[in-house]
Amino acid sequence: MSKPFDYTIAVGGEAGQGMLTLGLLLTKSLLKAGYYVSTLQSYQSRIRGGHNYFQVRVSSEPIHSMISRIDILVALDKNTLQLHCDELTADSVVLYNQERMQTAEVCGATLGLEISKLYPAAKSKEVLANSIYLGVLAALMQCPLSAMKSVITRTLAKKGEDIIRQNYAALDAGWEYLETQLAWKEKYLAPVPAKAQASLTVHGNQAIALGAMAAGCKFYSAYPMTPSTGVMETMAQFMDQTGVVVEQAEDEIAALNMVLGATYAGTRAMTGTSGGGFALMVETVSLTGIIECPAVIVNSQRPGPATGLPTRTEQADLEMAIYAGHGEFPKVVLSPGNHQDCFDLTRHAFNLADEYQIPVIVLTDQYLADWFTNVKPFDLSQVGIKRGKIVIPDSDYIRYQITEDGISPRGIPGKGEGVVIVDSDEHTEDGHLTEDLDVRVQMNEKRLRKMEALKQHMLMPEVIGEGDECALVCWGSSYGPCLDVVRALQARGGAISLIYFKQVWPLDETRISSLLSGYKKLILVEGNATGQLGHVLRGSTSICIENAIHRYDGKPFLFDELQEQVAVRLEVK
Amino acid sequence: MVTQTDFNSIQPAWCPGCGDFGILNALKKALVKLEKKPNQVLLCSGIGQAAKLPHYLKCNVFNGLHGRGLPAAQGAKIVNRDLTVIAVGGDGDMYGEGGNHFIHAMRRNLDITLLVHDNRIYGLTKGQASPTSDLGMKTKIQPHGVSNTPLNPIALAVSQSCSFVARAYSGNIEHLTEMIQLGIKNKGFSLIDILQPCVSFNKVNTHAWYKERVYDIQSQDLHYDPTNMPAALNKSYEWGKRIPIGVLFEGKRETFADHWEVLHGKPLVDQSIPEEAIQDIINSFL
Repeated sequence: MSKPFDYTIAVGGEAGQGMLTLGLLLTKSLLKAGYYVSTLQSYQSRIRGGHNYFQVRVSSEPIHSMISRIDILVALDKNTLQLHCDELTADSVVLYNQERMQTAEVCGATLGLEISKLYPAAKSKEVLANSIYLGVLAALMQCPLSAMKSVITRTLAKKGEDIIRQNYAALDAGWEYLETQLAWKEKYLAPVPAKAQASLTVHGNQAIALGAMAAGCKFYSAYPMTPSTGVMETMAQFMDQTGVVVEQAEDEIAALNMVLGATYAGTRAMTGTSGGGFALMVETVSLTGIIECPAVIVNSQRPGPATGLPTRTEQADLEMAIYAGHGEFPKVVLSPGNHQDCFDLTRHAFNLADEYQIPVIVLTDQYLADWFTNVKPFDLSQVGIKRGKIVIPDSDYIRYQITEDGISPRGIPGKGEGVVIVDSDEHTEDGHLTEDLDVRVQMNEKRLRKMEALKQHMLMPEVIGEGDECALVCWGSSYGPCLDVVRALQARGGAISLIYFKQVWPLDETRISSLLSGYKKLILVEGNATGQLGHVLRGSTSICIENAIHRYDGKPFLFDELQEQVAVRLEVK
Repeated sequence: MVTQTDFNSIQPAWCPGCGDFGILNALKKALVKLEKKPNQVLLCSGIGQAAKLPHYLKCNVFNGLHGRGLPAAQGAKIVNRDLTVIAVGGDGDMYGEGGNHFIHAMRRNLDITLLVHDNRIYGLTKGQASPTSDLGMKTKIQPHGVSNTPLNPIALAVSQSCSFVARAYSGNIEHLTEMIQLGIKNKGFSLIDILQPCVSFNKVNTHAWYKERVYDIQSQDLHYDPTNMPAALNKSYEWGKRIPIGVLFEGKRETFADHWEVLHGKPLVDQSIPEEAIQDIINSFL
């Protein structure tokens, strides 16, 4: 059996230098070849200049997180060297273009490349340098070149055969050069894992968009906002195949109101935004509650308050999402932590929105939105579309019929003889505004009755591990780092489990309470400063989790650091 | 055969003598003349006295949030072009709170009609200035008189090549009915700004005030050409001694639906996404 490996490759440079292209090519190639991969994209809110980096962790074992160490650093500029010096170890290597930077005046070993000598065409066409680096990286790890070539062919298909041939040549030049550097050859040997399976190369935003398409979403309206824009881009990218209409709204308020117009008229529709845009939508979330039209809203979180850190990650909108909207009305908040759940929970969100005629919020964040890892191809045979109580309105149809479960038959306007009247005012059963206070009470109770069924049918947290000693409690994108930490500690003999909340609202108090009280020790892991899931759990179950690990520096939890933090707490007991 | 009584709904809760009654009446007449049935019509509105109108006319209704009637109307029209979609609201709703949506609805150019009950005052909140209130008008909030220049919705619409721009007066129901008919018939975004007295709060722009001033720009002797943009823009600034009503501008151009091939077939609401298409898309990520 070959030696296990776990390397992190980081590509850093100014925005516009092509580090994203290189990072993506590398990621796709490694996934294609069959490696276990996890990525982290960190970029600044600018189009040119600054410092951006793309990290790719590649391992012989399944991974779902990043680590703080860099093994191979591709420095496209000097800034990258300075900023990542601390993450390098004695075994790390820095690759750089000797023609651009005279020395890599840093710590550790360096490998200067004379890019234009390796492949002269790269002098005038700088993007070809990406393929040279890719060739060098492939040789360092002895990763099969065929995977890289097939990714290059696909990525550059539209640019023509000449360009593809040039990139092949650059790739070969990089590989051949490294083969002559005996000190480096095979230093980071990484044979393709035998058991690896086919993987989709999708980031979280794409997985959400695919979920929406599979759910039959025909209308998407949003205002561009990092890090949610990838959902809209993906919906637009495939509009010719799906026939979905994607409309860029003038603001987030318009986006959600257009979505409501569309769902009122009978179509499945969705919007996506980040915290600031979601804040603008909040009044309309409340409208959704009273008119009882379905709406699916993606909030891809970034650090606030206000503009905060526009391109970084955080999990600090949980309470805003749960409590969004004035007045009291049922809603659901889902919190996928991986790509499969991005896909599944988005489909589930559409079903819930239709069945209960409510707003459903899907909470993700920048880390998950941009994260690539091994993703089993999504299975459409599992897809069920549940539209709920949709009816053809007959001549005496009324929209808000009082029912036992609080869900009224939902007529589609124009499809029958009757008319469909929805109103943001408190209304009578036929939808007209009223100030009859008895009717108000009946209607409020009707809407809130849906909450009971929602709790009964809530998606219970996924529990990984056995025993009653200790459990990490997480939601959303902290799932990956927590999972890796729990697995690693279990392997070291630790009695530890993971409780991963994929639905954070509403909670079935009884079942959640009995789940949480089954452990001697709970540790909350949240990407925010105040412990928002902790507040929600305390409010719903009276269980107060005092042991908490927070992170709010704009980065996701990293495996090694989190493991350390958890280990300390376990020993303390 | 549809008649006006087919559109009867619950009793309006407007002030006696309100211009809104005339607008409601004219809208019913226009719908009957166009042979629309209640279930084919969707009225979208926000908040305000005008925004209550959809409740008083039997049809499909989306009475949403203040200022947000237009986005809901556009969402509904995109997914079901078979509906005759009309947005209705006051000057505060459409030009104030929803001003951004008004601008972008003109750009988007869906085949919908916007009726603005422009009474140049806030009625529902009892008499504050609106975006179209006259300079110097005194209110409880503006005791020294309004100091913000009134918005000129007609000039704004003409300058943005709005597909159809008309002005009407709630005191001339016959003319208003005709304007609404033309607006609905126009393929594209139609603005009908309706001058309307507020009998409770606006003591300046009264029926008598309007009657003295309005004149029909379509009078034959005027030879007005609503397709001439510079002329229309010029005309849109005529206000004071004489106020033109009628079709002020026709900026006919490609509509939203013209641009989207997927909207040329059956309505979006009746379309689904084939599973093979989704499978192909998923496979493209392999």
